[in-house]
Amino acid sequence: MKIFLAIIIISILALFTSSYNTLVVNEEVVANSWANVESNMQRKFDLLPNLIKVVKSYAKHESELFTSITALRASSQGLHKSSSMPTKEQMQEFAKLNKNINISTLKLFAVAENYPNLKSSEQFLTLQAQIEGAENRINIARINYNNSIKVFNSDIVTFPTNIVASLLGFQKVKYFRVEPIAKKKLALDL
Amino acid sequence: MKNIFTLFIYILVVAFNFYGCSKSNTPQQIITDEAGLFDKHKELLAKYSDFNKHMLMDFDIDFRVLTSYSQEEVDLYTNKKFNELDSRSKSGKTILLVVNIGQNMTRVEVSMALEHIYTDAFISYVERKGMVPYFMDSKIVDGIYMMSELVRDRATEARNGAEFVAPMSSKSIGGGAKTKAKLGQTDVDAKKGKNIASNTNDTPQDVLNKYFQSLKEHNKNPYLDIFTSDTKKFFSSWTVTDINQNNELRFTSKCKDGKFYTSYDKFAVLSQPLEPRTCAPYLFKKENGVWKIDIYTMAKTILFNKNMLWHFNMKEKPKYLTDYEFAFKNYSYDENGFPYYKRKKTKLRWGYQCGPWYTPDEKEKEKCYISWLDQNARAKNELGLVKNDAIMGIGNGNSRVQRPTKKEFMDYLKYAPTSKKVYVRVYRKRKIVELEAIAP
Repeated sequence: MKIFLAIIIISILALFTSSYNTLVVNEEVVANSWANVESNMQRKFDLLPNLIKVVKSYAKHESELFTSITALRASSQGLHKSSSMPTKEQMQEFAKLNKNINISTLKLFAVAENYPNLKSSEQFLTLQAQIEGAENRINIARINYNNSIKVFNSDIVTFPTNIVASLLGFQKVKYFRVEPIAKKKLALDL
Repeated sequence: MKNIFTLFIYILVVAFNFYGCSKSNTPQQIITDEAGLFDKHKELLAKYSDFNKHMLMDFDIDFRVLTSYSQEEVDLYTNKKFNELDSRSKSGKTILLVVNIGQNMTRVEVSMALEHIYTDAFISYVERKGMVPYFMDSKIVDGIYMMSELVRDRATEARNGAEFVAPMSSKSIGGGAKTKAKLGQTDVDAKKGKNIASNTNDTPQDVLNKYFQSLKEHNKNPYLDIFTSDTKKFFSSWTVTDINQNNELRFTSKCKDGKFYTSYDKFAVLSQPLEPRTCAPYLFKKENGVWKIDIYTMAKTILFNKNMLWHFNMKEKPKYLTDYEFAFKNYSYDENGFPYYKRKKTKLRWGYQCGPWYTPDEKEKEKCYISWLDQNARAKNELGLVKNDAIMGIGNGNSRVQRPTKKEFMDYLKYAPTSKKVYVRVYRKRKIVELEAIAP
């Protein structure tokens, strides 16, 4: 009887440890995926001053747009940057900033359409390719982040990890969703 | 029991073979042609497969192509397909070129291990300047091939200067670039450019300088006065890109030791020393009393291999190069058309070659039989050797060596002092024959 009891206790302990490890590892994967999203966003933000400089040399009077992008970029400096997961508010702020920067960048590209020399300059095309590349990386990183959240969140609701999760306070993480701005027709309220 | 064991071994062998085959991808796997672009270009599939093999061998880069009609968003679709690839690169260096006919888009996806070499800006540049111009001329397959060559050029450059990258898994995090494919959208400006006149005072060198100037200015006008009439026709249907022109300039700028040869003041050739073989000849022809550059004949007869070494197209050479042969009379060619200088005929000392023979008990001691004799060989005319003679002895008296080895025999003749007698004993038609001659 004692042996039977010992086996049950050992099994429960093993199950607890294994569930805890699974949760911790998957939470780490989520945090790491988020760090990738952040670094790719930073990559994009860092390209903006150069883009502004190139566009400015052809379209000086678009100063309002330049100022707004510069301000947006500056506000990105104060955002959450660490390997831990962002809070719900930080995430919302990030999504909002990303959306606003996307809109402004698209406006900048739209401005370039009016200046054939700018549009065909190799410097502009190179920057455009780099920014589009960064956006694509953000997209891929976002998908990977959401996939890792899917795994982590299902751990939280499935047996036996759900028991450990509720005991130790693991919580579901919110998906990072973005509006597909690029596909919408852009209203140029310049 | 024994049968079961044999069956087990058989299954293992089949499984290994199957795995091995699946790793050495067929052309169809290297080019996934869902859009059927290669249906009329089966020969290019094999050529591309060969190219892919060399990219893998030389740079460990696995370069794949996918043509598709998919309606999925190009970036995500390419990334998905990329991550489904079974890359053969050992260090995770993989590139996937997607041409989406349905959406008129093209994208090149680059693995993480290659991002520092193939930056987004570079990919975007070669897409726009190197590949899309072909697509606009509806030469999609040629465009794809051109892209692969540009990727190879970049790899060669990077090898000379790029940092070492530790092997990593073949995974893409979205590196690369996409661009509008502009399939069949003829570019009305593609063949524009101011005329470059030539006159009767121009030398071939002047014409060449004008041609280089046109390359520098990216002048793609096919009807420049400096071109022969055949060249004009040729260029009017040929796709020329900025990258082609830049590359030609880049390669020729290193060729500075050229020499002009002319024939009856009608044809001229700028010929470069054969080493290194990166400097191909330039051909010129007089038309209406004015020197013109003959790119048409050059395109028909001169090819470059993967290392950008030039050689003649031996199939086309007799048909097109006859008028220019005067400049190449000092050349001989190997089977692939690579030229080399004709060797000056030197008088051979003995003029023979040894084949090996040995007895079963002395296998390790190869002996000599005469396998070849030059027509004017001293070995034949003065010493009296005949083809198939087996050498049984050298020297005479006490210094005679019986049954010498091949090396001993060859050294004996090679180091025989001039004007001294040499003695050779041979076995010929079941008889022993003694030969002697004065060493030359």
